[in-house]
Amino acid sequence: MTAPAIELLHVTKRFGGFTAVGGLDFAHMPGRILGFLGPNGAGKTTTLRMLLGLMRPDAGELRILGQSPGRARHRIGYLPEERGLYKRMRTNAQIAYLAMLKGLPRRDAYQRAKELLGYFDLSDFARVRIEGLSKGMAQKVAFIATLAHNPDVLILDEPFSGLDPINQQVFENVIRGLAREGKTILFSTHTMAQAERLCDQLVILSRGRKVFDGTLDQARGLLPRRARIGADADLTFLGGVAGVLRVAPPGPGQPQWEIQLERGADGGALLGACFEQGIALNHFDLAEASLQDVFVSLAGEEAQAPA
Amino acid sequence: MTRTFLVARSEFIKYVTRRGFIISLLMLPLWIVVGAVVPQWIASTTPTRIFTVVDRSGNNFYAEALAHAVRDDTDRRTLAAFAAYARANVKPGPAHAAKPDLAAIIDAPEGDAHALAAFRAAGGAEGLAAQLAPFRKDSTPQFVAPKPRFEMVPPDRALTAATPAGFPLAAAAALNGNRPLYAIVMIPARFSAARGAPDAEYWSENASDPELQHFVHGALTEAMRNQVLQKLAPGVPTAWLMPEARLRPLNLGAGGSGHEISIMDQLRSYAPAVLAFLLLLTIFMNAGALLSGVIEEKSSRIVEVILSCVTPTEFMAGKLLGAAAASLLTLFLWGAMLVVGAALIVPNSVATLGALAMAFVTSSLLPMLLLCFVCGLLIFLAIGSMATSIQDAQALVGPTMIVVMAPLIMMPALLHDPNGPVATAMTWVPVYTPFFMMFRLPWNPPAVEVWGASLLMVLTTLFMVFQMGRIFASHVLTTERPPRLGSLLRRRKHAKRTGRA
Repeated sequence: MTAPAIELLHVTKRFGGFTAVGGLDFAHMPGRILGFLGPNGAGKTTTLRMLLGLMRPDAGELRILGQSPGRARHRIGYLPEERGLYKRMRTNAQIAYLAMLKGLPRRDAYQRAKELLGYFDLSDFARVRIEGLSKGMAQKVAFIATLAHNPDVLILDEPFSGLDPINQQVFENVIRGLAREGKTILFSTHTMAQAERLCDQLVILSRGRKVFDGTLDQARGLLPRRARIGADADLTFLGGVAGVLRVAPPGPGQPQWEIQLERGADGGALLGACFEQGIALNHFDLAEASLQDVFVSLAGEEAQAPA
Repeated sequence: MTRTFLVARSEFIKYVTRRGFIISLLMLPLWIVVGAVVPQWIASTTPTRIFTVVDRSGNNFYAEALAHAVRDDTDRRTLAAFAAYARANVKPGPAHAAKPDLAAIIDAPEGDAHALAAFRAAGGAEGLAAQLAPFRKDSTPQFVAPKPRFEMVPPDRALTAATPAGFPLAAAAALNGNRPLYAIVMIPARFSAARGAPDAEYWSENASDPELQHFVHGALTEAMRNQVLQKLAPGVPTAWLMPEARLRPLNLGAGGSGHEISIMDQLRSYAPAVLAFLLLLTIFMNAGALLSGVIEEKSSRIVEVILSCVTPTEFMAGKLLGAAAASLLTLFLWGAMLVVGAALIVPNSVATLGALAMAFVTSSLLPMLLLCFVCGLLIFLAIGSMATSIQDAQALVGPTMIVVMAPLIMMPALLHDPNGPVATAMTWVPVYTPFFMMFRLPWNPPAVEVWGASLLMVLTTLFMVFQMGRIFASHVLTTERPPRLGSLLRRRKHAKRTGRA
């Protein structure tokens, strides 16, 4: 059986009387992408810092590739939310410097910087100082610096912030490619659509505690499916259809009727009921709950709960 | 170690490629040049002060004494300028062998009465220049005598005829007249050393430059003393009555044999003081860059990236080494500029400066300098780690600067008495030990103090590396406001628990 690449066992971190992370457990397998989600102040950054060995947990244990974070340091690539670059350093020197700190010989570090800058279409900017790059370019350079030493584990804090949709797509493709190569990727994000597209596994934190750990399907399964039906008639009778949990009429920002269904309920029964009543429909869609809904539901409930 | 070196190299490159580094590197030599050139320029552009004397004492005794003093002053300045010219432009060996008397005039201490008499006897600057011409180096410039400081001219008739009551008006007319006149000296009738005798008067419209006033006062005092001595011992020559002692400064060498104090001796004595001053200067110069660097790293969160590659100790040590290397490079380049400058102005000085540099490198000053660097820079590094913005850092740097600058404030007292109670006491204040010991070394402090202070320095540095390292490690990732001193001490235990894995 393959051992987890990242493993947290009952990890707790306190700052004075405040518990930033409380009893956190999860395991992340090699070659997979884990989305680390949570509202602001949920304990994501503290957990990432512990994974990087920048902080020591007050209780519990963290293991990366079977080692303590300090020992696995050279096998980790880290991209902070801010660019994390020296403004006055030249692009290739910046990438090579961080790669050398991770143990790459000088010549290899510069060669790798050259290759990656070429891959990301930044060869012409190799000798430009970071302060002369656009925000998106700087984000790419920071990402390249994370990859330069060919790490086995990538920890990315908000990797898509500041990127335009095209570059977001480029980053997504690169992350998928890295996972296919067997790299283990953990990234935190507030953009649920990206997490939905990329992640094999999701861990949602709220107030320092894990409120979900599983796949996207499992997350969606936490909330009922919903159907949206557009019609001029009154559809409250749909409440009597088997598997319907709730029927909500149109309202502000919601032009259609919204019907919540039990998991596994047949959406076609709704259409049949409408036809039987001779109601003409102008819209019908049936969808699983979105990750956004799940996130708001889980993190929102937790946030509103008394401490 | 490799990662520490990588951080150090990166820091060093960051420092030396700053515009500020180049500017501060050039500022000191520029100030030295300005400091050397401006007084000379002021002296060369200051006009000769012309004054006149109305002597009503009866026999024109004081007017003649003042005229004599003006001649002496002019000749002394000419001799001093000629001696400097000859030292730079005459081949010393052959001149000493062929003309020992002339060489003695040139080598005599400035202001020596015997040398002045010999200078006049040899025909002044022109006569000496002619006699030394065969020993002049090739393509040396002609000697140009300096402008006299003072010139005494006879008073006009209106002044000599003025009554005591009308003298102010006559003086004002003379000072504002067509003839350039800087001051009027009026020696009243019955002017003497006797109690109740009237004062001599010095009339001038310029109160900001008292040089001529002091000169006149000195010359009149000497004339008055001469007059008294002549009364006490009539007929005895003045030179006998007012002899001038000749004092030869000697330095007790290491072997106990005295030798005349040379420029090298003087340089050796003052070099540590200059070095100590430059040391503090370079620390202050780099402190700003060190602080802003750490704050930038914290605010851009690059510190997280770096600390995911290296330990806080490696990071701090690298930053420290980088800053120290940049500071040492500054000192080295200043030294190189000094040598090049000296070589251009006084070619003979290169060997002296080379010997001085060698003496420095092989002395115990070098380790002290390095320890001083480490302690000074560590303080600023720790401040940078605790601050989250430049404003925060400035609030902490202000009081720190006052503490660190204390030795500079004490420098005059130190120069006056390098082994006095103040210097001795300050040597035992840990942070100041390297500075004060460096300063005192040429003045032979007791061996027990040297060894004790050296031990204290090493212990202080180790303590600071350890303690500041902990402060750095526990604060470099925080984005809180800087802690108070009390809370810093209380957090020591907490820092242990929140440290790295």
